[in-house]
Amino acid sequence: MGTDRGVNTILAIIALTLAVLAWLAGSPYEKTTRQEISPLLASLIPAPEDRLGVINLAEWIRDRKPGLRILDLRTAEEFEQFHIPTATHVPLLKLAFSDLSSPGVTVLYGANEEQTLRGVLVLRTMGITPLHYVDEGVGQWLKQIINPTLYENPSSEERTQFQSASEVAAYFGGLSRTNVPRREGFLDSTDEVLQRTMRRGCSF
Amino acid sequence: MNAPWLGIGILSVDQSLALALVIGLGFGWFLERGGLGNARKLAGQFYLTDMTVLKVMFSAIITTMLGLFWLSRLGFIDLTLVYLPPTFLLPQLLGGLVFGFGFVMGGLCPGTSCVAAASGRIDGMMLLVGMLFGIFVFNEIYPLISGFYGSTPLGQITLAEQFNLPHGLVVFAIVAMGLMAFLVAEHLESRHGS
Amino acid sequence: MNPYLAGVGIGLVLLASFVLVGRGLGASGAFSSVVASTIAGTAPEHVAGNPAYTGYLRDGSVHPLKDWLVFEIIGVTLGGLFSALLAGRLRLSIDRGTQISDRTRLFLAFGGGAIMGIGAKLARGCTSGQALTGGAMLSVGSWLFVVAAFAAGYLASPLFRRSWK
Repeated sequence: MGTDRGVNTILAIIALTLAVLAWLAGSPYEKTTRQEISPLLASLIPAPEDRLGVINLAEWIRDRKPGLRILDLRTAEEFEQFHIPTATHVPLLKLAFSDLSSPGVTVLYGANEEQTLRGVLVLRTMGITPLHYVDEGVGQWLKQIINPTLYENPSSEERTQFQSASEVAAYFGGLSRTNVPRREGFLDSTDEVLQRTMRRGCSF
Repeated sequence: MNAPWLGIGILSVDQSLALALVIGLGFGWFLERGGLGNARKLAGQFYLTDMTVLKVMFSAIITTMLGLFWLSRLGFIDLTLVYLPPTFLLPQLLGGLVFGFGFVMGGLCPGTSCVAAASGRIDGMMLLVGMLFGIFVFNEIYPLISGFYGSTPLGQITLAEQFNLPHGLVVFAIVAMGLMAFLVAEHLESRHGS
Repeated sequence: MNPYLAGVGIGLVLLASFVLVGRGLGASGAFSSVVASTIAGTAPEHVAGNPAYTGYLRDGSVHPLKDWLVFEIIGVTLGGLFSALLAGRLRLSIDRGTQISDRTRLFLAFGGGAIMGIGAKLARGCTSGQALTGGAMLSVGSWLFVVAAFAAGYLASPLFRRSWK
């Protein structure tokens, strides 16, 4: 039993060391940094009233708003993986050469804020109006429409938002969750939310 | 990110089935070597005379948990591609209670009963037959209880997310808890003189 | 074998499983597949419309027993067999307390197995799938299952004290 004791002590020391280091490391994920948009572009940011939330957009799609045209600026792979229903794929590079002459309401979204705003500038110089943009991207669509979540101890503002979100969510086959604990400093990228949503659902 | 291999397409499904056999082989081997094919040894856990179940199970959890944490931190495995069992509060609470009752009654759990049966123990084989019957009963009454089965879902959520604590702190807390439990277990066993 | 080393061994096997296929170990799931395919084979019309069965039969293009957990549990059984064989522990026997008969022990094993089967189905996993696999992934429900199972085990232990003496 003497050697067992020695082995056990060594195992315990290894486990404790790795555990203390884990405590210091905090997160098992490598740090990701958020991309900053260039100051020039930020100064050209279009009127805030043209900014559209994903919930409003979802309501427009549900209500079949006449002349609604949704453009997805991301890459073909990203579009293939997931896109907002009824959206058309127009890569940013081809945007200036596409035919958008028919009247209607145009809504634009890209992979991130920067790409979306660039698209808005292109369409503005082409004189396309009315023009709206969704700068929250597909991640927010998945988060708010497909997985609308009401965090614990919600403010009245969050409650109202959740109610309108879960109404449209039902139309798009989303699943509402309530009383979810808050997590701070956690930035969900589109990929993360997508993988979470599609995580292989194998049984135990 | 080099793993999981199946998730990122390095392994085919057929290869993963062959691996399942090898992985199971290792699992069964260590269960048998740890003495967990013996129902009396397992039942001893509930009478505080033999703490083998606690020792094997908790050290396995600690090993895997630390391994996953550090492999992910070092960028070797993508944890978001690893299956995380979803949480359904009430069904899992009740299921755990029912399971625990059956555990102390039968003295083996589903995995260890396979090892017990394989090493020639007739009680292990009998327990396997009983388990198949229990699953059959559950399946037959499933349409009546499907509402409860799907109730109180929290989604795929970890303790760290649930209690809004840093992941690493939860890992540390579980390891600390385990090591303390091991000390208590050694003390109990030496007191019992086994 | 030192139980802590056996535990580390199981932990490393489980870790390898996560790294290679992105999922952990399990046991009760394999038996669900066995039950589903047996019942579907004998009474196909009976299983239709019951998701407890059809979930394990999937779309029918693949045999329900060609499943990861089924292969894994075959491996577990073989692993136990080899280990017992090499250690000279392989022989027909019944583990029981000294105060009960073989018949009572087998009856209790069957009953305990049946109750565990129902509990594992309700909890979506057993000691392998929930306690080990979910526990290492820090799943909330898995830890709830572990605590509940051991609490019930200790609470019910006086009822079966005689059978293990």
